[in-house]
Amino acid sequence: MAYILFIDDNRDVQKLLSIAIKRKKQHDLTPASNGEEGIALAINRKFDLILLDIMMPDMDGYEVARRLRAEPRTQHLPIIMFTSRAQTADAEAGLEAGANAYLSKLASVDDVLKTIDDVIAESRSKQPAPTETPAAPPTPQPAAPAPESVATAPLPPPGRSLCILGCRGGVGATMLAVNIAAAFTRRSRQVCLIDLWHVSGHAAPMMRLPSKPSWGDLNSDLNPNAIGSALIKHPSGMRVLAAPAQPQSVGLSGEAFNSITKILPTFFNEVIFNASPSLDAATCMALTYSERILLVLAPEVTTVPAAAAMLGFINSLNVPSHRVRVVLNHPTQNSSAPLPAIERELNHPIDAILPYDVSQPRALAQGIPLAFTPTTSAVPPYLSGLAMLLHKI
Amino acid sequence: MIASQARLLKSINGEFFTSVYRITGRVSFSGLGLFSVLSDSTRSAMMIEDAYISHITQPSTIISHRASVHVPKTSLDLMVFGKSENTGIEAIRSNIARVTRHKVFMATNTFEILGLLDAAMGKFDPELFLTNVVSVFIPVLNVSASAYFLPKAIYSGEVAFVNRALINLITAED
Repeated sequence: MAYILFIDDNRDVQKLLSIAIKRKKQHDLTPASNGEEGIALAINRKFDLILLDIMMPDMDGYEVARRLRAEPRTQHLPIIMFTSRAQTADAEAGLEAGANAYLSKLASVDDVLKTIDDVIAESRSKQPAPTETPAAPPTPQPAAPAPESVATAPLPPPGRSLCILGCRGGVGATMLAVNIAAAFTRRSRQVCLIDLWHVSGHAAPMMRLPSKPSWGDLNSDLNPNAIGSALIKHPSGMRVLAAPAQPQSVGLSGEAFNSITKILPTFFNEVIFNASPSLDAATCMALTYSERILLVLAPEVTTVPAAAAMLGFINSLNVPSHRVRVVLNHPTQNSSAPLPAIERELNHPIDAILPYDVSQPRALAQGIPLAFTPTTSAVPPYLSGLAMLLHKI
Repeated sequence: MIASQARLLKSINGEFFTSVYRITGRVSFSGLGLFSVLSDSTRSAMMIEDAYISHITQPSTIISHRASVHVPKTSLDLMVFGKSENTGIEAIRSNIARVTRHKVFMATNTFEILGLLDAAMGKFDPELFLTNVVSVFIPVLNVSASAYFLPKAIYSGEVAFVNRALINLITAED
């Protein structure tokens, strides 16, 4: 039995092929209806093979194949292009983009199954044979000449992880990530905040920290020292892995994400990801990696459908629902949508509400998160409550 | 009493070529297959749905996707279909009592086309063939076509329809 990811925007084709394949062989077919969804699934779940359509509206199959080949977790995953656009030039372009084989949708089910079996067998034969003694799992190096941040941080038990995701830009997700990191820091936790935004990441500027170094400065040598050197220390003790000041065409790579998540939880009690609603590879990985997810939305008519769609996306990554909490933030004084209507549209309860705080603009201007200010402000008690809620998940 | 009859729409996927564009998409039809759309003199354009558009100079690069595009029939050089089902080719063949099959090579301003042509029994007469005004599009079987400036990009299929009015060269083996 093989686990197959089938990326095709045509649900009828997916259903028909799924039925035909299940009838003849017990392969497990997971459907994805577009390139983005397919890439996220391929990165976050284990498959033996990908069947990939070429003609899809937003991202064509060639681009999907190229992205899968550029991603370390999927670069060796066999891909069969499966398309009705199956002329010689298409096949050549498909193989050039990284596909292992090319099949016309006019092919018989037997031919499809034979090609699947051949490609999987060929792929398995290329994998290195297991050695007599399995390699030891990578252990983080003791923080020898590491920067202070890593060297003085407590060692295991490994820290917890939290991913904060806005349903779109402008709902205050970064503000919340910074404040939750600050609230945890005030509770004597060792906190590392990672800003995954690749365009307009502003977690560091919100605390008047420089945006350099950033994860954009990490090179291919991702050892603990290199990662430690990229962290910025806040006067409170919090560490920040900032987003690059200059917009990047792509986000943090999957390889870098893996290295970071191997190393940082060893040194910090809390690793907090400020995820980007562009849903790049690193964000998808953060969503599946994190023990807790906060989805942030604002009480606006246009934002609620985006939040519902984002919940659907998180669900499609097979993230257990108990990990997900929804926070309603009031980034402005004017809010219109009533809570029951929002919950009804989301089909999910609102787990926490953050009120608008007139002190927020001043906090931004001063670079001091409200969670660090005296409790004359309305928000810190709410943040404290939110921190306790997160502690219980 | 007025009897109403719902027309059952079917569709066929194929490749549609003008002298500039390669359009991969779907054409809907009722009746005897795609040929009924091609020979419908009341419709001067074809609507191609779910259309993926490439330049024929870079045939594997999709430059656009559109829910539908309209192409004037007079601009269509060539259409290629992987399978003959739903093309209407059987209905055309049944109109010819005795058929002989000829291997043909033909060219438009852009495409060179190799394939098999069914004609009425007897010697193939290219002149008669080119001046036939009954149908604009000629069905060619087991076709393999390419743009003359990109001979490596071959488009093949069980059936193709070639625009008779755009043919500027034809030769046949008996």
